[in-house]
Amino acid sequence: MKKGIIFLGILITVFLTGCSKPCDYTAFNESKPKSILVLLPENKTANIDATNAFFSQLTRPLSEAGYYVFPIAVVEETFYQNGVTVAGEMRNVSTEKLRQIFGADAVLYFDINQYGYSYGILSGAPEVSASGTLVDLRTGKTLWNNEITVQGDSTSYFNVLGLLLNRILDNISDKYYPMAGMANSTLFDPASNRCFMYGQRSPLYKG
Amino acid sequence: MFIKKLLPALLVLLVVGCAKKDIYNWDDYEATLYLYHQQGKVNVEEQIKLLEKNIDKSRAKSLLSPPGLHAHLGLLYSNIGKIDDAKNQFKIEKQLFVESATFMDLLLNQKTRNLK
Repeated sequence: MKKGIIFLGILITVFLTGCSKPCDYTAFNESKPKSILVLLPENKTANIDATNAFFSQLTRPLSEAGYYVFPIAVVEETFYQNGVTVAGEMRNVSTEKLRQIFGADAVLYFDINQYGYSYGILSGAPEVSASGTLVDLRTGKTLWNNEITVQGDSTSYFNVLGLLLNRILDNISDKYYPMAGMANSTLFDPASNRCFMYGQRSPLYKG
Repeated sequence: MFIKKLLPALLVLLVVGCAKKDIYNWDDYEATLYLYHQQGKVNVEEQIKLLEKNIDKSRAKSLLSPPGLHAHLGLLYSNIGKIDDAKNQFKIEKQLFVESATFMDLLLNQKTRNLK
């Protein structure tokens, strides 16, 4: 029961932080991107684990939303081979160039704003926070941007997601990893209120 | 207490929300993306095995492998010098996901020494 209540708290936090503005789908609808290039996130926190936790868990929600997501490690390797090694530099590559190299319709720029314990006025709580911007590589237009904050008891995420049952994940010792996963899957779930749209590979896509 | 009454309702909502069927078979693919950046924790051969297992299961159960999985496997093959296997995976990626064609062609056409 205690875990249930903790989880309830998390749910309410996720819901409350997402109820603010109505969605404007105009640009997204005009663009109808089929594929998304995910660049290495810009980590604005002091925690070096944050980048990998968020980066490795972006592919799934974006794919399940119906987009082709470029293989993040292969993309990263391609940048490295061309001498581009940090997130900030990747972001400076022009949309034309990205389109030419990867043939992607859109690029996702992703910022990690908080990763770990945050001390509030009333009490401290583990918190992860991130924001993303989706830009059309053919027109340079911004299609979507939004942010997410997830708070709560990070250990309960392991239980809720069933992650502890998976042996390979024993190698993941970062306790905020499941919170990053929860943040991403909420932010890019078109059924949540983050204004993200279904892509054409989703059975829920509305053309 | 009202929270105790509300909890089951919310959990039902949650369960309904989670029941949505995935498009792809994700078995361990996300974990391998994480492990790729945890240098040395799980060696490349073992990461390759995880992805091959995903592909075998997908084939056996007629599930779809996620976008990027075959290309990522290609990268892992190339890291241990299996260039032909790598190229084969890039071709499969391109075949399964036409959106990847430009990038896969780039990888297939580059000189092998450019692949790590």
